[in-house]
Parts: sequence; C-alpha cells; structure tokens
Amino acid sequence: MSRPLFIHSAAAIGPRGILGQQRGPTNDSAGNLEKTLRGLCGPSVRQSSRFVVSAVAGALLCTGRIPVVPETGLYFATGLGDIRSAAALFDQTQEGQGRASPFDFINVNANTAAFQIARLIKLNGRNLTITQSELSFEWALRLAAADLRAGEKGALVGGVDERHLIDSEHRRRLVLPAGQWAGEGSAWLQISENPANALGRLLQVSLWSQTDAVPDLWAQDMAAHIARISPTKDLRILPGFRVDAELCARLQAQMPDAIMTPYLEHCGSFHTAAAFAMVWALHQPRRTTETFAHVTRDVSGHNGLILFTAETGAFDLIGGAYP
Amino acid sequence: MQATVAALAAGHTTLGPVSRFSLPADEQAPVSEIDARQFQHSPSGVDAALAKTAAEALARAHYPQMPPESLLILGTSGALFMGERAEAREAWFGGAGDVAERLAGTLGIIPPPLTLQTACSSSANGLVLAAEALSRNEYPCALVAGVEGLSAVSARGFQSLMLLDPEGCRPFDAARAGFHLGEAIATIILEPDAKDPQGPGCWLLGGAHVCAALGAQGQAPDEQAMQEVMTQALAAAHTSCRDIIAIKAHGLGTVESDAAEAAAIHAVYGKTLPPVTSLKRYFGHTLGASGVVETAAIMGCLNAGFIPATIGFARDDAALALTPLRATRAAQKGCYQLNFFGFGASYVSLVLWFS
Repeated sequence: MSRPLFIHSAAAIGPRGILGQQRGPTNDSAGNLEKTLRGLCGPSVRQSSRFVVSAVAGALLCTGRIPVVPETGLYFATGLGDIRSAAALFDQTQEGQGRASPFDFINVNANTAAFQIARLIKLNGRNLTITQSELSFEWALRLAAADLRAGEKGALVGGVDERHLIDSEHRRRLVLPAGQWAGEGSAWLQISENPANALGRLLQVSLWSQTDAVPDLWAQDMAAHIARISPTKDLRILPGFRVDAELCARLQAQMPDAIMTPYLEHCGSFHTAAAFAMVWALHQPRRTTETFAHVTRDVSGHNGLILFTAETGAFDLIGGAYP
Repeated sequence: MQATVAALAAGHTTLGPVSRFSLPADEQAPVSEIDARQFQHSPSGVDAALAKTAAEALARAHYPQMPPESLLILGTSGALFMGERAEAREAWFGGAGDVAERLAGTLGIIPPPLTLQTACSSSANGLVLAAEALSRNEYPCALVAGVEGLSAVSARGFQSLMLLDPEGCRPFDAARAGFHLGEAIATIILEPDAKDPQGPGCWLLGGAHVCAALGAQGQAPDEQAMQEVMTQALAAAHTSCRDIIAIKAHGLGTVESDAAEAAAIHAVYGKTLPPVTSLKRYFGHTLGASGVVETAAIMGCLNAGFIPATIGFARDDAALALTPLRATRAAQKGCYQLNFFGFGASYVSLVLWFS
C-alpha cells in the first residue's frame, strides 16, 4: 500500500453485546440484543430481518460519533449473508408448502442490508456487497482503499455475519473443528485519507495465494509479507479463525518478537471476524501506538493480511462514544 | 454464443413453462431455462457450465489459457442453488464465494477471486470493477462471470412481490406487467490494451455505478438515479449522447421500471433518441448474471453485424413516448450504452465502443 489511510471511527456488535458502549447491554442474550438494535435503527426497519438490523445498527453506531459525507462509499462484506431468512424461504418454497414471504425474499437479497444502511445514513457513493467467504472483509477493505486513493472522500467498511439457528448445520458449513465456536458480529470502520484525529492507520491489505499448505511454509510466507511493511517487534498478531494453534506456533517461531493476540473468544468464528478483530483491537486501552496484523486464510489456500495501527488516544475517543 | 446470436437475430425466445421444479397451480409463471442437458441443476452443473463458457471466451480471445495472475470476478444475486431439492439448500449455504473459488481453480487463476452480490447489477458491477483494476495495472487480464440458476426461491419470491408477467417480459409495451425469470451463465474476458484503444472489436470505454438509496422510496425504481448513472457512464467514457449509436436498456417490463428508465433516457438524450432495445424477452431476467449475459449478447450481435430488436413489444405506451427497436438494424461503428438496474437501488451503466 503506497500511503496509509486513516481510521476515524470503529464500532462492533458481537455475541456479547455492543463493543465499547458505556451504557446498554453487555453479555446480553441474543433476543434482548436484537430488541436493543431494533431500537437503535428505528421504525423504518421493522420488517427487516435480524441480519439486516444487525448490519444497520453496527453502521449507525460507527457513524454516530463522526458523521459521514454523502459521497462516502459503502463496502459491505458478508460470508454467508442472511442465512436465517434464506432458511425460512427454503422452508416456505418447498413443494406444496405455503407462499414465499415477500419480506424474507427482500431481506435475503444480499445487498438489502447495504441499501438500508445507505438509505438511513444518507449515502449516495459506491455501494458494494462482497461475499467472498473468509476473505470477504479483506476484499471490501481492499476495494475501499483503491477507491479512496482514486479520490473517494470516505469509506464505510463493514463485515457482518450471523449464526444459523441450527448450530450443527452452521458448524458443518464453516468446517469448524471441535472446541471452536461459531460466532457472529457486525463490525464497522470509517476510513479516509484525512489524518486528523484518527484512531489508527490502515497500512496494508493484501490478498494472495499459497497452494502449499505446509505450516512452516505458510508461516514463512506470511512473516515475509508482514516484514515487508512493518517491523515485527511488539507487533500484535490477530489470528483469524482458520489459523489454528499449529499455524500460530509456526508464525510465532518466525516472528519471536511479535505478540499473539487471540480475539475469537470475544466474537467466535465467522467469515468476517476480521472486521470485529480490528474494532476490538482499536477499543483496547494502550499507552503507546501499537501495530496489528490480522492474518487469515481460506480453505482454498488464499491468504489475507490486514496491517493497521491503533493510536494511544483511540480508546478515549471511542469509549462512551455512542450516546 | 453462436446459437445465442442466431436466436437474437431470428427473434426467438426460450420462454416456456418451468421444468426445473413444480410451482403451485396459482403461481405458474413462464421462464427461460437453459437446456437441462447442458446445465444440470447441481453445484457441479454450475461449475461445468461456467467452465464451458470460460473456455469459449478464451477461444474467442485467442488465449490458450487465462494468464495465472488474472483477476476473476463473479457476479450473482445468489441463486447459484438449483431447483428446490435438498442440495439446493446446501449450495445456498455454501455461499457464492465457493463457486468463484472453484472456477479460479479450474482456470488456473492464482489470485483470490472476488464475488459481488449487488442484486441484478452484480456482474455489471463486476465489469466496472474489473476495468478499474486493469486501469490500475493490478492484473494482466480479467475474467468476469455472471451466474444465475433458476430456483423455486426466486420464482416464488418474485411472485410474492407480484413482479412476474404471466405472458413473459414485454419491455416498454403498453400492456407490460412484469418480467419473466431466466437462467444464464456467461463470461467476459477483459484485457487492457493501450495500443489501439478503439481498434476492431468491442471496447469497454467506461462505466458508472450509482446507489439510489437516497431518492428511492423503498425499492421503487428511481428515475433521477437512472439519469445520473447514464450521465456518469458517458462522462467516464469521455463521450456524449450524440455519439451513442443505440441503447441497450434495462427494459425490465415492469410498469414502474420501464417508465422510470424511459423518462431517464429522455432526460439524458433529449429529443434525439438513438434506437433503444431490450433483451429481457430473449433470456428472461437473469438477475445478477444479466450484466455479463446481456453485454456478451450485445457484443455477439454487433460482431455479427446487427443490433437486436426488442421482442415482446407490441403496442406503444403513450406515457413513455418510447418505441423500442422493433426489427434488427445494421450495427454501426461507434458507442453503445448499456443499462443494468438492480434491487437495492444499485444501478450500473456501461459504454461500449464497437468497431
């Protein structure tokens, strides 16, 4: 990445509530959280699904502290989309069953969430929905970065996925090993080229392929990519949900000065967990600027790397941000 | 492609009863299906059909294979699943990204692929993004695929929105009452070439994307945004409406969408309208695939020497003041504007150069 971009706002909703909100639910049950989120969004989303509401609420939280200009581009990433509405539609449209619900059908449109966000936040810039499995969020960030460098005034980038109601079906789809729990979240970042009052800097978003799945080679390759951009001393590594304990150990061996910083215990595993990781990292109190590397891979051997910094004042700026 | 162009020249449509799955008696709607012998309703069937179209695109581009560092973008509305059987549910939950991954593997494309889902403008957006990436010299070449399988979910979902015309799509016709669904798989290869930017063949001169969320009332078509995206596309192509030989309209066949598009075309072009045509009656509305499907079809027709007629149109709607092209016309060297409008207020317009 030729020059850094700047992160101006960050907000996330995870299984345990709204990250960084000083008041409101924490460790909330899903039902109550959904009710809270619907309250945040207002009556115009009353016919929207839980997935759409979660996406809209996350975006509203992110833009609540710093308003966005209408020309802001919206880059919405989701691995699986609105799977609850999709499951409902499949049940409705089985042969001999009743009619399809028009609301479920509209909600299941992958870009309905992005449309609702643009409508409520009043955005008229580029509006893209990206669904590239584990690399959806990395692609969204990369497209946003390219557009910002081409003159776009701002970017709102989010990653949203929800858990299927049937946990076994969801875990099978995500190919999750035993002991790794399926999570969900709606995490959003505002990014621009303006350095003033930034919470952090986006240094690099890389996507590349590595067909050789040998852990040592993966770790060497990932470490080399990181080292080209950032010193590794005190670098905080955020391992994505396909980066298992063995890969973490190999990567640590390649970068002994780096600090493994697991985050999945806060949100669980899902395709766009990288978005949650970035917001979570920005929300941590710190005394010095820290550099983070979110590392991930998909089941086909593609790698994703997001390098970013979190500034010392980020926590103070975010904490209590949402009224 | 040859068969498709022949059908377009002859004005043939594939409109017929649905055979992929059964619909309740009161929800019958005609569709445009791909021959089941060519395209099985299964994930492997999608993969095979995609590979087949990619192979034809490669042959037409005189490429023995895709350059390994190429960009692959797949656009779909998500109907990659087939019919309404159990495997359809499985394929849906597999996510659209898996299809692009498998196609990249088949074609030997190394960089991670990108899947876009901006409803009916998905693959049209793919063409815009691919052109931008090529202009930044990020890739040597790009392959953009549009994929849409016919599904009970789509058929019954659009039925629930009362958007399907039991007579099939009748673009801009006074009696139009909606569209019919189609299924299609198509690929386009884009390559950068500064040596002869308006030489023989088809060139994507520019494109634009507008999200009309601000003006849209719900999901209703937005005339202002349609006008804006057409104007932006002309500007991106460094051309003006005076240079446009013909417009390939979105021409959906719904009362509201065609009225909004006709008004937008009048606003952009004024009193001197070029010929306007719509392909929806030929293929049905192929949703997220329509960007690549209809662009490939127009390119095929132009290369064969004609602009296709608008079949399904019979009677003028006085309120539109727009009579689409009723008979094929000889293709001319110059610019062609192509519109693609999607749910979620996602609008795309492209400008092609044909020589």
